[in-house]
Amino acid sequence: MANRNAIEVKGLGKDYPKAGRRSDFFFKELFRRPETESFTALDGLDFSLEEGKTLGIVGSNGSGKSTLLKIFSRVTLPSRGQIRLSGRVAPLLEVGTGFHPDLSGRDNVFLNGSLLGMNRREVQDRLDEIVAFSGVEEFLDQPVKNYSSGMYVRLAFAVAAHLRAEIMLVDEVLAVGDLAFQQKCLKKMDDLSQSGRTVLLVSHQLENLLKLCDQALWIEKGRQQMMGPTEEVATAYRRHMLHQAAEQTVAERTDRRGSGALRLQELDLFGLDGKTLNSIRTDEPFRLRMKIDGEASAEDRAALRVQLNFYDQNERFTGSLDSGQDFPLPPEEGPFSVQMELPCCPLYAGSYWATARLLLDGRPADRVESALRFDVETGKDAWTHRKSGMRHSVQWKSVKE
Amino acid sequence: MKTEPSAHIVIDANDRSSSFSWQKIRPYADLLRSFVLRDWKVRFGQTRLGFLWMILQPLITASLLTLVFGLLVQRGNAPIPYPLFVLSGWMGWTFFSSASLQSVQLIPQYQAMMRKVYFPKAILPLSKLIGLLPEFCIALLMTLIYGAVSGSLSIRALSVPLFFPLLLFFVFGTVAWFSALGGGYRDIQQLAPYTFQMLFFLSPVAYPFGLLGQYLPEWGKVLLYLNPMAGCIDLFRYLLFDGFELHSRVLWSAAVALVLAVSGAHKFAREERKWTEGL
Repeated sequence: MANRNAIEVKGLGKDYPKAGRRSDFFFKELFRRPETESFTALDGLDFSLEEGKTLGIVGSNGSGKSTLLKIFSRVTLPSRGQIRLSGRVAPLLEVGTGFHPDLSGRDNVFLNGSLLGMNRREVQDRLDEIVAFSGVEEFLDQPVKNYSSGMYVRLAFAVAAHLRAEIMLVDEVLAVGDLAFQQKCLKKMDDLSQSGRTVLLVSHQLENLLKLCDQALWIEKGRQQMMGPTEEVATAYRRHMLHQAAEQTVAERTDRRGSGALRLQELDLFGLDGKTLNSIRTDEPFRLRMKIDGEASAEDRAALRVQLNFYDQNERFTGSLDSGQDFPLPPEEGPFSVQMELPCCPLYAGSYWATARLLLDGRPADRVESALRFDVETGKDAWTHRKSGMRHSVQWKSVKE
Repeated sequence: MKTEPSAHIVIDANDRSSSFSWQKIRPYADLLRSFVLRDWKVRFGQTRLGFLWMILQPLITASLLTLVFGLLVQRGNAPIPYPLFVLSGWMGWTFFSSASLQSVQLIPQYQAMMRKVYFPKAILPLSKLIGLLPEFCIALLMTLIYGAVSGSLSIRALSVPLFFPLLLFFVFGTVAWFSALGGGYRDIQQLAPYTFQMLFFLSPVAYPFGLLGQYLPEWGKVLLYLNPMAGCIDLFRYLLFDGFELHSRVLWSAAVALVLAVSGAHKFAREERKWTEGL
């Protein structure tokens, strides 16, 4: 195959109007022009990719990866710059788009196919393959509203995977379906690139990127940080992630997202004896404490919800702690702390990162990525904690500092 | 297997071409067809009578309007039976009003899809236009049959296809306007039903304008014909049946229809850009 470029990106940038500026009300807008404040999601991207190559896109949450895919799939328009593509583009962004619950599986295959740019003949030619891949033969003529969610997802992915597009866009699609089907998808993706298709893949799983991608693009805060062979980019990216979180205390961090009405100041692990911990054992109880400050009024604070998401060293989501809505009221004014006590640690041994989120009345007030790094060591009765889906009773409370 | 020549796609920030272009729509002709078929299947697929409803609806409406208005409108020396009069007005009216009313919901309805995958948004209003055509044709056919049976059909009826584009232009214009506005301002959803209720009484569907005309000065009559539906209905009645006259005021209707079509396409393209930029 000639080494033609499948993708050429020049000076690509994207600004979004600031959220909440645009009013849905007709008359308001008639008399007042909407303000044109905007924030820059992407800026100055320049890269190209040869035909038949697979490009992995990495970057922390909010760095602009999804925006980039949206521009590629033409869901949204760029504000600056240009992209040249050598063929049809098909997104696997979110499978099942355009499935109509009242139509049969067969009708939906045709509808979805045409949505992704295939004509009726092309779909007809591939119908058997698609159906075989999805494994829903018997239900093909039933409305998809009667499908299980697994069947639904399998059928949707099957349509997308049998597309004839020259350039495929994939976003986290590997997290779909059961393990066996995931393997099948992974293999299909590999086949796609073997068959000369150009693939763009956004994933949080560095191991998958290393396995599947020839090249990788790392974007940070909307800017192109690095473009090159996957191994090099992955190493640099991993180093950056560790570095960034280790370098600063939580209070010093500025890479936050949210309204800022409340701010996380500290996030630490303690034993029951009150000593700070760097690692926890799977068989020992421990406490997590978050110090929070901010100008949110007492009324607003009453609607506080705290979430902690845990990721392993491969950036894989492993679990979360969520205070829910009926959280005990945080005290009125001034800084306060939120404590949770767990009887044991429900994670495997290894290193973990926690991302903290503070929500007020469901709207994000603060979010700190990788706010806490800690290790988990195997305790003596570790096995008993490994039941999947096991829920641990967590005691939440809030105290005035 | 034969592969199509791979088309080059250029995504450019400065591209401001309209989405009502053949180049953009052609690759998505199959999607357009899917949208139309999907609308039909969802509308009629789960009914017992299915597509028979397309025939029943004009019958029911014509009977209802005859019952209600037939008593009010003086027959006198009417050139055609009143049910036929209603049916011939209603076929165009319902094409216009259902297409426009449904298109108010179009963008909100397809927003989830627009967030995930590209397609030329212009096919949404077009799908409404095409999707409602068969119903119009069936109603037209029924009018023709009824007209032939009652002996009021004119030889001019042969030229109906020539004037058909006028109606299409007009409906296209309102569909484009309503879908463009419905996407940006949800207020339109609330406003639209009343607009159409009012327009119904301002169109000569159930009564001839002659009834109203005797109370109106000339400029008032012109005002009535600024509603293109009025011109369309008058034109079709004149073409279909003997005994109707056509006034030059109908030209006002035609002009408004053309302006609506051109400005609608323009407005839709501008709004489309706003929606997609924010996604």
